[in-house]
Amino acid sequence: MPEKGIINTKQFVWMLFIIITTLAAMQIPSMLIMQAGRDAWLSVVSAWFLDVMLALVYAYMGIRFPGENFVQYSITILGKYLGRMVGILFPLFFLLVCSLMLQGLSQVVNTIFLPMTPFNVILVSSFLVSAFIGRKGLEVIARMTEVLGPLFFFSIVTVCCLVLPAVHMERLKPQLDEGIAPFLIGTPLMLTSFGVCIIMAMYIPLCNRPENGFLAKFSAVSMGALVVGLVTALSVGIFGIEDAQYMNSPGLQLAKMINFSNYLERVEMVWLLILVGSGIVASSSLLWAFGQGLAQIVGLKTYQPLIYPGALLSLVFCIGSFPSSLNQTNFFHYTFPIVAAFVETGLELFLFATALVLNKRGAA
Amino acid sequence: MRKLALILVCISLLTTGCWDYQEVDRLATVLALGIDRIPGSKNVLLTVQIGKPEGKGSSKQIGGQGGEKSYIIMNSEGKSLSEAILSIGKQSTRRVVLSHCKTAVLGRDLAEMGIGEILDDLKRARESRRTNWILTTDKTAKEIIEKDISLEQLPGRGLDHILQNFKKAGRVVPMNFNDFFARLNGESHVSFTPLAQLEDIDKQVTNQLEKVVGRSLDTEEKPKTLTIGKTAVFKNLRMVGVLNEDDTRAHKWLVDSPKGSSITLAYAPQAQTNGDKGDIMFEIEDGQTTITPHISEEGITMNIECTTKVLIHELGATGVNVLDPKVVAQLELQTAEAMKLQLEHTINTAQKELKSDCVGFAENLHNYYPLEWKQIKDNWDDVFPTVDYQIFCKVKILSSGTISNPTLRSEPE
Repeated sequence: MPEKGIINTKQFVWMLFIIITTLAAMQIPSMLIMQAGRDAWLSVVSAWFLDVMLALVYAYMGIRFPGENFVQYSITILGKYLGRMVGILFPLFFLLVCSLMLQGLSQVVNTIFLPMTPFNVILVSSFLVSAFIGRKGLEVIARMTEVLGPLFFFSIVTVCCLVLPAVHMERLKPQLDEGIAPFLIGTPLMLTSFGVCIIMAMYIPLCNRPENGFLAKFSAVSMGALVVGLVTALSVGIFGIEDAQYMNSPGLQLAKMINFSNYLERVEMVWLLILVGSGIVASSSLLWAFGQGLAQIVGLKTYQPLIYPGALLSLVFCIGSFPSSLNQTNFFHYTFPIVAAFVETGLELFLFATALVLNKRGAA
Repeated sequence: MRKLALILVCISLLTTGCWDYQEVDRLATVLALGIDRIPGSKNVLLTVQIGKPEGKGSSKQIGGQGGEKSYIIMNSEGKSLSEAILSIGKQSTRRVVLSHCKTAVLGRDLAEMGIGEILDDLKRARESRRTNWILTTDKTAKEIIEKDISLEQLPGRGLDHILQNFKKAGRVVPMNFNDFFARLNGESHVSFTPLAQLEDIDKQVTNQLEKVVGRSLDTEEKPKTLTIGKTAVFKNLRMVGVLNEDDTRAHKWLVDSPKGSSITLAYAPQAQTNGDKGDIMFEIEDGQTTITPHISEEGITMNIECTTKVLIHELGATGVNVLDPKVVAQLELQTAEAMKLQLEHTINTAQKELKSDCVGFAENLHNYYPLEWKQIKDNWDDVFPTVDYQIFCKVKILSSGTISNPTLRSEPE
């Protein structure tokens, strides 16, 4: 295997949590509110449940094909050629998510915090740092998340608590005003975002206790769902659905709402810390997953030479495909969920069904 | 390769903010802004109050009475608020920074003609904060922004302090951008802001005193005073009217909380209780108002329940024995009745004069009857004035302050 590092279950949990946190810190809550309105938090709950169900499939496949990730068991199940064609979709998907994350992150930093700094400087810096970390390997990323993960979790919960006085519960009422359709529509949208945690299949073979894969995913998604749910519900309760649905980063706006008698305010830097820190670490993790997956497809001994080219490819995709934040938002709202649903759910279920039908199992 | 990567990472991390550094003494910090509508193609007039750090510290500057002021005023025009903000840069040698601006004042003309155009800028602008206060004035915003506030070196900060105080206790509901936007986006599309006015309080007081003493008083003429005691009501992005001070107080009881407010009772003793006629003032220590809608064949009825706990702040009626449970019970009943009358007056004003649901009936109806609301909401403007309501007030006297009964007695007739 190209990656020689080993991670423990705790690191596994925090790595997944950081990926969800990045999405929560950016556009997901507003997208969800646009679809599900006041019931958006219900979509988070139902998506959490479905994602845990999906995690069962991934965990089962991890055990059925011990020591293999989905790129490898695609080849085991579907054969040398078709398996590689299907398997390469996973690393490419991670590269796409990395592009979207860093574009979104850079856009928020540029618009809110560093308006006079050219956008591309922020974007290129983010890619360079992410690639630098990604190339260091999974153990380095895992150790970073072990420190940053709890810090982010505590910070987000604190921000949410501090903003509570500004909440108007009546803005969250009535629930299910338009029936169950809005929250049911919001559920798959949220699921596609939680679904980025399919990266767990890349971590399971490298975890010192692979049987804890499901537990790790369950813990991470539960904490992530709590964070996204809190940000979503508080955004509706404070800004109302009409405004919250069009905010580029509702979490950031929540942090800007904190004001305790003029002595505690302007704490949005905490949100910037969360956004940049989690965004960079999550992206490095995705770049690592891209390199690792691709190295396995093409049969390289190491993934490291692929990280910088991967980052460059992702950067070019960002600059070429999303010349403005509006393009990125549009893609994230309307195209990404379809692509994500196909890769995260469709491909994995296809591999799961094929493995059962063809009675394929891992070698170990 | 590693060293190169490290150098690149260091450069990218350490140099991103270098070229857009801003020294604090090269910034013009806006403390408050006022927006007016003026005739012509450039119809937005912006007035900003900018703090002057070097002018700070002299006692002569307080209130701007004598000496150099601690702030300067700048005006600019534009087709939109953004353009007017950019135009300020034409006159300022320093970069104008709006991120510390705490208050925005809307002029009457602008408010009456519609604020839709400027709201987008207030929401979208990077430097704008949703916790900033919004005020309306019955004059021009320019006059309010230019007005000195006693005891304050920076009037912009003074406005902020007044509104902060309202948050803790006061008769007016202070309104920040966020709640203003959220209410305008609400079911009734009605929102409100405190109304800033310039009143010649000194002249009024002097005139009254002159009547009492029967001669002209030898006092200095003082400038008008900025007061905030009324409420401007907005419907569909336009100001539709003003609630007077009494209605503003009851409006706070309805949409916020009676806590921190006060009520004055014209006390009239009944046969079985003692005391003379007079005013008794109660401070509302705690309380809450709930509005529960009810839909029946007769139509929509709102049950308004206002529960308050009060302290006796002043007993203007002499001979009232507040140690007598009968007297206390009577005071509580009469206070509840006074509150009820005031609430009725406010709701009537909203229904009949303003024809705007600034009391939150629509939101409550939507919350309790979401299905029925869908049928009503398109005609809500016609339905609202016909909505029936029942008010139940309950007052509990908690304390009489540091003394119980009044120590002074009136002269026997």
